[in-house]
Amino acid sequence: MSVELIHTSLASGLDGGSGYTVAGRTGGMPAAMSDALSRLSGLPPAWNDATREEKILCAFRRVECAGQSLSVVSRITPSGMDYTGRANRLSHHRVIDARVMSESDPAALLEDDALWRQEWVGAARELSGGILPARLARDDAPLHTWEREFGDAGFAASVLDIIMKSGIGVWLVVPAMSKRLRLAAEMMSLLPQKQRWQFTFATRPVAPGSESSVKICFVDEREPELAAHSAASAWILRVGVGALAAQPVGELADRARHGRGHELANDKANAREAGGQIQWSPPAKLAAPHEPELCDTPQASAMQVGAVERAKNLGEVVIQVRRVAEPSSSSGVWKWFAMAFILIAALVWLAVKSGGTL
Amino acid sequence: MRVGVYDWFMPVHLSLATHPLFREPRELMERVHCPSCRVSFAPSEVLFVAEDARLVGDPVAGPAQQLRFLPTRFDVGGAALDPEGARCTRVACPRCRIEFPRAMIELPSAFISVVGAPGCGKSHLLAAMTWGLRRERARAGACMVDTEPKLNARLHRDENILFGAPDSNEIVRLAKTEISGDALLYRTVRVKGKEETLPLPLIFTLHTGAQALGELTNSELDMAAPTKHEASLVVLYDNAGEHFLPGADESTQPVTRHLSQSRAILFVFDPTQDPRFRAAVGMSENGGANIRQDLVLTETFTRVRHHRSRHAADDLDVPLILVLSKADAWSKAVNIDLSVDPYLPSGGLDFAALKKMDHALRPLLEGACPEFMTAVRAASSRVLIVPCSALGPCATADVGADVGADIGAGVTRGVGVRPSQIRPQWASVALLASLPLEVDAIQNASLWI
Ligand SMILES: Nc1nc2c(ncn2[C@@H]2O[C@H](COP(=O)(O)OP(=O)(O)O)[C@@H](O)[C@H]2O)c(=O)[nH]1
Ligand SMILES: [Mg+2]
Ligand SMILES: [Zn+2]
Repeated sequence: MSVELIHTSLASGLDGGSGYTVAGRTGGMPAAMSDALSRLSGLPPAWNDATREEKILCAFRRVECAGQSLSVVSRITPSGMDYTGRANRLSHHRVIDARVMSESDPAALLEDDALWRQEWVGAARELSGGILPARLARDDAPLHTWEREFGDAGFAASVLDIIMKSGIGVWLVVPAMSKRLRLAAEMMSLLPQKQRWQFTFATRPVAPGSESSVKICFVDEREPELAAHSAASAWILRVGVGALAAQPVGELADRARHGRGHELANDKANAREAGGQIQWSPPAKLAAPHEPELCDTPQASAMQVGAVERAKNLGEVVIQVRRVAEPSSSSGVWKWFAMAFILIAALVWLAVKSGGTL
Repeated sequence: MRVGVYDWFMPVHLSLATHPLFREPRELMERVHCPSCRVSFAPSEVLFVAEDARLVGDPVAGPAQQLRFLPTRFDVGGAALDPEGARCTRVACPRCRIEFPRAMIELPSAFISVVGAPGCGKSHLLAAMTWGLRRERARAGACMVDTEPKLNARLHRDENILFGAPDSNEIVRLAKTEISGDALLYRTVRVKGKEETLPLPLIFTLHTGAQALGELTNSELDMAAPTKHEASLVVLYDNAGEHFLPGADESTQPVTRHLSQSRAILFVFDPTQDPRFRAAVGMSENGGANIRQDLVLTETFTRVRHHRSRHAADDLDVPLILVLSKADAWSKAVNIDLSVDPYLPSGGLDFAALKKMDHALRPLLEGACPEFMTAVRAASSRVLIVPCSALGPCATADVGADVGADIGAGVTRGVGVRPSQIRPQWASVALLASLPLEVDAIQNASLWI
């Protein structure tokens, strides 16, 4: 069942208070959870001529509540005038359970406007819950928004790499009027579905280090909060500067530029031509993960996906191998294809055999 | 760059007392109260904020903040040096590690809390009262300047919206004060592994003494160039009204702890949110959106007593300045005139005028809002009633055809206001009355009932 809470300014809230208060929540929600979600409800002030759309804060955050870690997806939006006639905002939070985590990703959920309330009508009341539909971003498309904003979609891979290695959250400064949620969704699409739940993010500034802090904030360059921090701060990232000065390289950056489908087609085309030898380097050479809670870097995970999906899709294996092979031609592809098949057959045989002896 | 650096060791407080940052002739305070978490500490315990760009991340203040440290090395001038050798001048509380102006170590501070139900007009009033005291130093007999402008950034935001473009006819409005998530209002720190959200106060340097003020040039008023004139600090708190509602969670968000040290509480009472007051002054019904402001007052003083009772020495009877807001909307109906600010010709507050106003308003409130006045009497024995209008009588907004039918109605309905029409009335009075001035209203007992 979907667990949600709506926090906005009302003359009389569900718990009696007025002003910013709980307007609606799933029946039976413990008080501690209601309080924790209420504390996530603030909307930071934006720059002077920000549009309504630009002020919206979309976030996926993780908060501690009564010794438990909650995964919370929130959309906080300006919402007309409140009962005193002042600009109101409405915060809609959803606590994500294991089922949703297994079939959706946070950015895709946030991109579906139909799942999020824009305004509250009527008195405060309990909500009955319901089933949250599955929403998942496709993982085979080139990252057009990254390309448009930064000139090279490969930067999505560089940023992903930085936030995996960085212990604290980072702010990525993006050009004025960028589609910040789209940037988040595209970056996430580089990851396998499960891993997308390891990257907390927000589309407006959230102070690093607080209970509601996230791994990455996509911060419009006009945000007033940027002025409060030294431009030299290492956790404030700008494309073309410092950690993001170098041109992105690597398999993930290529995928960001061309998408998965493009490579697949390319590989098939190349495979038919005759060519040189493949220099295959083992995945052990890839960067080790730095963040304890993360099990793999994107490169490594791409390899793992390959491994996992081998049985289902042998073409996939070929592609994975092909990606680390640089520079390469594809004459040996079918050899690798065959070798992988033999390897899997051997593994399956081993498994069956050991099962049989029990 | 570590050239010309003397690494000598001496007790921190000694160095503080002598190095030029702390203006040699000045005595340090014996104890300093942190304006955010309210803990008290000796000047020798003050932490410095590292300046070197590599020293980012503090275990308490947060990963994006510069490291806080207890200095052991100083340069020739006596300034603290951070572990990388950079000169440091900014200071922070040893407990919550939130930065505060270093002037707090050398000047006495008066804490003043602005309290009131959501929407009663606190933010507008605060912007108008500080704006007034910044400019009217001759008339008011005192003036306030930002102790450290960077730390008052969110007030500047509001002041700029209302007063920044005095000729503008574009409709503006202040946003509703957020309960969390506004980095200029609150700061989350991790003290002993537990998160606390603390308020960031507004801090001003108050200069008093009429003749001294006459001589001051603007550059001398700047804290960077300290003056020898009488000065003290004023620490103001503006919370979202929601934090004062009964039941607001005090343990994880101790944002109202400042009540415990307040010299005075400015309780903003919005008569236009009281149905019987509205009826008494002939205003129309406002659709039943009425808050029990008496409960907010009672809750406020319950917290004051709760915090103060832990320290037996504290006086439980805190002066209460009852600010009746939005007077533009109701003053005509009750026949009070706020067109002249209550200042003496020689400068300073005209206490006789204040007292007269207080006496005129008391019976009105007793008649229209008896339960509120009961709560007022229970809260404090020292009460002064001050009316005010942060926006003034002309600040009606575009509300279509009915502009002028009900003065101020458009504004109280929040349609917005044109900066060119804002003329605050009595906005700085309540704050002036609570400040530690030469003629101190709070000490001036005859003023209170
Ligand atoms: N008529 C009138 N309306 C005011 C005045 N001050 C504030 N208001 C209105 O009262 C509402 C609440 O003001 P605000 O300062 O945000 O209240 P706060 O929640 O106590 O900070 C706003 O819609 C303002 O337009 C005033 O002096 N006169
Ligand atoms: Mg306010
Ligand atoms: Zn402190």
